[in-house]
Amino acid sequence: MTPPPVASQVEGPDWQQLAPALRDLLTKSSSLDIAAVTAKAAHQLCDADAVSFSDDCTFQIHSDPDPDQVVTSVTIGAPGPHPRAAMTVNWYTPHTVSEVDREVLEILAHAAVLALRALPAEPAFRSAAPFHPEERARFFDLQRQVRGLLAVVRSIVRRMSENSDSVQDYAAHLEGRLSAIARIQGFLLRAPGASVEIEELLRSEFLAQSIQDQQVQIAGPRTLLNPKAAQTLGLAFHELVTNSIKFGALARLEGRVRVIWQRDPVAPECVRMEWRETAGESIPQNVTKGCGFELIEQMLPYELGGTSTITLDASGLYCLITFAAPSDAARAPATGYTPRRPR
Amino acid sequence: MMHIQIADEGTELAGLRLLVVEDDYLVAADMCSSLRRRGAAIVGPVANVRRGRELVRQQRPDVVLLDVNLNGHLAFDLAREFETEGIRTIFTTGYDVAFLPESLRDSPCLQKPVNLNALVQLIRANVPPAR
Repeated sequence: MTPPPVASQVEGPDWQQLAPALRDLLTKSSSLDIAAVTAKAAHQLCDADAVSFSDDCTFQIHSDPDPDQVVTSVTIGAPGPHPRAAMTVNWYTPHTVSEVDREVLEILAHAAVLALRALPAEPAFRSAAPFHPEERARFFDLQRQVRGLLAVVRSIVRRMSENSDSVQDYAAHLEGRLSAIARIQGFLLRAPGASVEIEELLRSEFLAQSIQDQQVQIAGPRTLLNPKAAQTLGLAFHELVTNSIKFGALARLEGRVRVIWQRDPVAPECVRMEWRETAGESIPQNVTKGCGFELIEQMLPYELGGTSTITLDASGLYCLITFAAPSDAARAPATGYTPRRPR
Repeated sequence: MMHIQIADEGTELAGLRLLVVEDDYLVAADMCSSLRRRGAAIVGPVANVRRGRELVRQQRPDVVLLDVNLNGHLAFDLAREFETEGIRTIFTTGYDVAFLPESLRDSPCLQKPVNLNALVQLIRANVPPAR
């Protein structure tokens, strides 16, 4: 790999090493390798001497466990299904943990935890009694979902490293997108075959970005989304909220966002959703359609088969999304998940 | 702009037409741009079985890169169809290899997240000899 050209413009850690480290991390196939790559990156970027991971159910690993030497220690929570996973970073000399250290380590923790969750079953699990066929099918499916998710994260890391204006921009957006993915996965991992409601997906995104209730109006019938649709729409909501905070209605206190959706009376399979921003004043005309808009205008129709358009006018941003959500999912019991139907 | 060099430029795939069938937009977009940088011409990408079948008939690509699970639909029958038509398929999937049915167990298969170099090698190894 050729050394990255731009490195001197940022104080503190060598941000340019972050993207290659993340790419490396996401290709590892054992927990020890993941711990080792993370420790190496934490050392290069923040002078850390060791990292360890814990998650009550699934993994407990250390890159270099030597509790006697630890002088400074910080634990970073990686959002996810309960219980939360955590990465602990240790220094063997006194170290002041800066804001930038924290940002870098949080991104590393997110990526490492996703990579750890994607690992195939540990040997102990393999040597257990043979799977019941149904269990085997579920296990294969889980493997596919997690590896698929990892492939998505890797693509985000790669594409963003080509399209970001600055390293800070890259870090902030990556952190935001990883957090959004973690939140969506949190919903989907509540129960086997869980579905997610449009409303909870939306509210969690506004909540995560600390948007005040009075700025937002949300209205629509209870609509359950399958995991794929939840992932796609969840990421789109994240991009819309982020964009609005940066350039749109949510950049000002008097700005409002109204999100409404309904089933098409003629084709009940089809959901029509409108996102309308009113900023009070016209938003800047120089807002260009960036990477986030690509996700909305390209990814949504590609994955959900509907349409998705964004228009910017004097009153603010308007986004119209149509997509199919099978109405049998909408009739599911109010327990928050639909039992998986056999394929 | 920040440019982090990704050492994946080359001409190994020059002159090859590859169809990408993948239901995940980000993964498809990333895979296509990486393969283009290696010289390939991309057909698609498409996200479902129906469009995959159409494009194979209309465009006769040299190799198809096929995601096994397309929005809940397994693509094994599609792979067998391509085989009958003499078009080589490489599976890209999050499933374990053990998940492939016995009759397709020998098909080239890469696990997600796909390593680009491994993919390039596998494509080259599966180009029809007539070329």
